[in-house]
Amino acid sequence: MHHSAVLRHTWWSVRGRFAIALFIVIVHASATVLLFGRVGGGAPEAWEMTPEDRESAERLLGGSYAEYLGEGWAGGQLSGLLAFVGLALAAGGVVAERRHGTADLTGSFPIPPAHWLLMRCGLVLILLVLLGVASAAVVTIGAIAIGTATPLGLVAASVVLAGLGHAYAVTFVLLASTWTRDTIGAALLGLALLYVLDGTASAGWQPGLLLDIRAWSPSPPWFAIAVAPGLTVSFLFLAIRRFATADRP
Amino acid sequence: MIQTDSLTKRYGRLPALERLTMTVPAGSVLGVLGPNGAGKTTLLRVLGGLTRPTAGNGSVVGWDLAGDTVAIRRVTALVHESKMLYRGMSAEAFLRLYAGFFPDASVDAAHALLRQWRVEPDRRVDALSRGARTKILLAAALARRPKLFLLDEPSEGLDPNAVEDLWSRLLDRVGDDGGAGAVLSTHRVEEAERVCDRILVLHGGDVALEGDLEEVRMRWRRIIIRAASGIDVAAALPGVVATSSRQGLHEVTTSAWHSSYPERLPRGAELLETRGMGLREIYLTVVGHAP
Repeated sequence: MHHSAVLRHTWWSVRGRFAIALFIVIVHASATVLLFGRVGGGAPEAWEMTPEDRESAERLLGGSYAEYLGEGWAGGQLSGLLAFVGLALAAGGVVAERRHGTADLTGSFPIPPAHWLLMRCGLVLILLVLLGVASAAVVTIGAIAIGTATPLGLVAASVVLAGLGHAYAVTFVLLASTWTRDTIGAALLGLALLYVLDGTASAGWQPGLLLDIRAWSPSPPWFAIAVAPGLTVSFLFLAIRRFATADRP
Repeated sequence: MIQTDSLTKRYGRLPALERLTMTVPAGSVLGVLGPNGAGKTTLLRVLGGLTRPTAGNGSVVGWDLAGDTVAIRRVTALVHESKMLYRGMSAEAFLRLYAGFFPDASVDAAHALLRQWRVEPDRRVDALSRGARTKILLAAALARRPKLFLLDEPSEGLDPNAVEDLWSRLLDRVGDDGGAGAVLSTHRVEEAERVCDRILVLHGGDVALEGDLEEVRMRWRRIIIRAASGIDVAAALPGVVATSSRQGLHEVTTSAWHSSYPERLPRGAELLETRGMGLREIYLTVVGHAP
């Protein structure tokens, strides 16, 4: 079998969008750390601090906690905006794939659909991990650099949630863009958007809060733990179903 | 080499190809002509195993169009209409990628072709013209030994020298003992007339004309008939595709010319002239834009 050729082709087919996704994740994570001033953006629940923690935070910040929240709000807006810009850029990959005819190139190669699907999903999952690691690395390095006095556990939790959150959203876009017909792709993009909104809302960012998305979407841990993998499984099911009657891989 | 029976392809409700029935023998070069949106690319995609027919059935080199798409891709060399290549990739890298999928591909032979066509293999694809990208895909295809070439508008954007060389090489390959065949879609009628020995004209997804090119040219004639007014010349003759009349002279275009055709003339009508038609004339008549 021509596994290496399939793998190379797969890599080239997602390479551009992965570069965009990586850029988004790094910029987003950096903005979160630098502008929001706290690791992983910080969930609203984390703001309910004990008096000791608040005092510690104000000492660290050199100002009132209320001002800090104000800065965080502004920073969050920018971070959220960056996330949306990034999502739009990544979504452009769907259009690019159709316009540039990647599917035509794939279609001229004798790749069994199941083989192509597994390779592509496998590679995208690896990229997901890399995106999560990149996000986590930026957040951790940023946290150390600015000397945030966040307990290690919160760092770890934020890293996992922020990393996975960003990575899931971007991965959905990446996976969605494997489609040449846009029906399922659009649905997945919608889900990705929902997740980003949910993420931004959970972090106290305006784009999500404006739509009050938290009122009707699950909390981030539930989403990250149950819904996102569920969507991934659903995606795989749809993918297999679609390949069974595929017009083209 | 190719057999289809009522082959139909629809995208949702949109018909792209309607009930195509044809047989193309091995070693043939089939030219697919038609206006934009006629279904040419869809046909090549179906024949290349990129997409499955909605209805009907058919086979390519013995492989079923509906079920054996991967096998079909192995035995065909497809140059698709979009001429897509990864933009950050060099021609060299693409040829190696391509060879990874097809054991019968020769990277050296493809290189030699690119050198001849003045394409630098080390340059990135995004720094190349559309014509050069087409050359890369053609070089990759011609450096294989497929049973069937499927070329979708292969000469588009190519310089005249490269076009000449392409046809020469393609016809050499078709003439080989291996008996490779080719299907090429083109808007250039003269090109099809020169290279192909079979013709298929599609119009709105329907078959407007299909057959051996020599036979088509033999059957299609423009004839001038003198007849007194009141004689319905067209009704008496078989295969009449178009007529025009002026001052007792009738110009009839027929697709059923035969040596016994003059015998079918109605009493009082006289055949003055017959003239063979070029493929361009035939094509324009068939698609409804007669000159």
